[in-house]
Amino acid sequence: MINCKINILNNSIVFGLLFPLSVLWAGSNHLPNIKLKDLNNQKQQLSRYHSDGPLLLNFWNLACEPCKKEMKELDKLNIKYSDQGFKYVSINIDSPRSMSKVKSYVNSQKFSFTVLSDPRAELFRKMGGKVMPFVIITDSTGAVINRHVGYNPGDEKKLEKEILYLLSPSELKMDTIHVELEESIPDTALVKPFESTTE
Amino acid sequence: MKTQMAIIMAQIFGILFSQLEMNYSYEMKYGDGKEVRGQASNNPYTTDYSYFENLLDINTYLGNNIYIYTQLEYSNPPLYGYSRTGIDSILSTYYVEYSNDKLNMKLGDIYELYGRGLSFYTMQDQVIDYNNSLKGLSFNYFIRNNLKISGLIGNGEYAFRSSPTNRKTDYKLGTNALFGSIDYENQWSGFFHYSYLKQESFLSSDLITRICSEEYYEVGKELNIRADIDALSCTQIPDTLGTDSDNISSKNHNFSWNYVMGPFDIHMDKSWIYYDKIHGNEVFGSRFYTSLYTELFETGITYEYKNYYTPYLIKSLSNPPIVYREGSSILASRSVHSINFGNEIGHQIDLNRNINGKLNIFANLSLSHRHQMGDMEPIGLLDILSMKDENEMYEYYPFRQIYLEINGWALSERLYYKAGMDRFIEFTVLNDSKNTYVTTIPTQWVWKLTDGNSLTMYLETQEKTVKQLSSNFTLSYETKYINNYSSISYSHLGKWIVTGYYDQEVKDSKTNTWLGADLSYKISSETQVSLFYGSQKGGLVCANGICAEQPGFEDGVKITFRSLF
Repeated sequence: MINCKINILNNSIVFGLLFPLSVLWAGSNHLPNIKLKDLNNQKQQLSRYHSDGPLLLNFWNLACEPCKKEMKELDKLNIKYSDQGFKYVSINIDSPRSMSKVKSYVNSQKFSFTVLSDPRAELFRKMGGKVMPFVIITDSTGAVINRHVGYNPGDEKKLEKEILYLLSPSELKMDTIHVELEESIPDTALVKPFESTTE
Repeated sequence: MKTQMAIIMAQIFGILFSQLEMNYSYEMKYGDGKEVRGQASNNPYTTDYSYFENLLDINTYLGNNIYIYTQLEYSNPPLYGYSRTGIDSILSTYYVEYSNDKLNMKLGDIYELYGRGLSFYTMQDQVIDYNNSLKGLSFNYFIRNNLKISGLIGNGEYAFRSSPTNRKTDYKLGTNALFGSIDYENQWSGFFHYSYLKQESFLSSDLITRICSEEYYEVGKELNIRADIDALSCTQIPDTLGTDSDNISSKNHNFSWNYVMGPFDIHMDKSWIYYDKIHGNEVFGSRFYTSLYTELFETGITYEYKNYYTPYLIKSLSNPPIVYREGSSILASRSVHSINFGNEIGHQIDLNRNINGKLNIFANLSLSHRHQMGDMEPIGLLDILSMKDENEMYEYYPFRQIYLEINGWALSERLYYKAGMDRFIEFTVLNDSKNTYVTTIPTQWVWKLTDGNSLTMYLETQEKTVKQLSSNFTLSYETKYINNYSSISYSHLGKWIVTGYYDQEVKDSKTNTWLGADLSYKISSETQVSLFYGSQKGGLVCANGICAEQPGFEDGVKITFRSLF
């Protein structure tokens, strides 16, 4: 009985301290140093995709209909901004059992982007993924700039603004962007850098 | 408790002494209304129903090599499963992972998949309250870039449902496991995997009695036959055939091969399993799965085949592929095939084609049946394809499903459309024979408005006929259902979404309707809250062949809150 009370007390103290401490002390998040296989079964280092510029990752599986709609829109962004250093990599979290169907779907859509496989959803979980579609945007150092949960047609416009912001020259950016981008950055600040880079 | 404290202390030390990165994911579900019980009967009744479920996932990185996953749960009660309210039960899942270029080690709750899961696939799915993980230690070590050895040791308690309608798990199986595997690949011969799993399972006398009283699966039927021989009832079995509880041993050899040869991607997986019957001798069983993918005339073609035969084994650590399509349509997903992982043969063909980048065509054919056993009349594949002569086929529990779909964008990519046709037929023998015929037409329409607004509609209709037959296969009675489902959502600037639901069932000229409305608000890209008010029809929620029944919900409120930080 005494042991039980001590345990409860210990846990209360631990949880009471752990949560606020960890929230306060946790720094910015980075993509882990991880290798994932592509659809040809070749291992790819994730870091190679963000070395030239911003990277957008989206997590999806075959049963996720909004994910498929989002991927179609993200494909357009990939084509539009890939020559400026932006990369979009799609990460499928179906188990290896569905890999042939994933291949079939991806090949039929003739996407321009790379598809990697996270068969046990480990990266998805490590990045805080809970529901799909789940999008992560990182800068060229792999630091997570923003995360998006869910997709409704039209949401791609916000994603495009964020990509444009990251592609803009650094002097035009605010000191810190680890805040809600769509909330904090006025539309004008997002459009101008794009105009300057395309001139 | 000591392990839990160690995990928490590791996190605190991490916070204090190491380069630390953390992220959190929080989900809260609250519901208060009335639950509809006995929906399948003519006299459904309602009881008070509420749930309050809180899940907090904490991901902690200590430098580049150490990662800690922690899931805290406070549920009183959860949607499914048992309440977790005490401070001693709040830590529901955790593991510590160490990785470098050659080695990966995990300590804690082990979620692993080897091959296609014929021998070992542990996973957690909160939606259906499924978790078959072990607590223990696992490692992967790369001897060379193309040569890997893996090992695992652990134990756990696997809790499962005797029926999907149960809100809580009612069966429990203790398990010890020792696992080792070797993977090798080269470009000439493909990828090879061999593994060996030794497993011990502990069955209580209560569990054995309950398994015996369920004749739907062979494991219960066989126990029943043995009991009958000695003129015993199921409650007498533990004392008579054995001593109370029983320890079941199994030895599982698994070999798989994957090879890409030009346009063909071939995978084969075979398990040879030696296992004990409950209070019986060791018997042999096997599982075989193969898939072939190719592209012909710009059409992706996938063929899958399964042949599982371990009729007297209770599956716990494995999750073999189901080899049929789990539909995403609301109405079609309410009629699903109940897979028998211990005794089933099945085929699936999947076709996928895109025309001019605008129109997608998708087709799927799935069928399955049980093995021929005892004095059952032989049947052929054509019998299953045609699904006629049901009198000859009942003992095979045949199932066939055909799904066709077109989808694409039109009107300068402002309109997305999807229309399908799902035809499901299944014959089962559960007390009496039952034929289920279901035709579903699911459609989806999305209209992109200006300024990032959009309108989404789901319109579905279904005709379902259930024929109940007597023991001499004459029609006892027939029930016809017409189901209609529609929902319409308006998304405003991606910030808030309002949705209305309409669900109708017409059964023998009696009509039931469920109406609901949902308002979702995106507080930020990482945080959203939704509020539902109204009624929802219950139905099965399935994943990987495991189903849980979502109870019907009447005149109530549901709140869901999700946030990443």
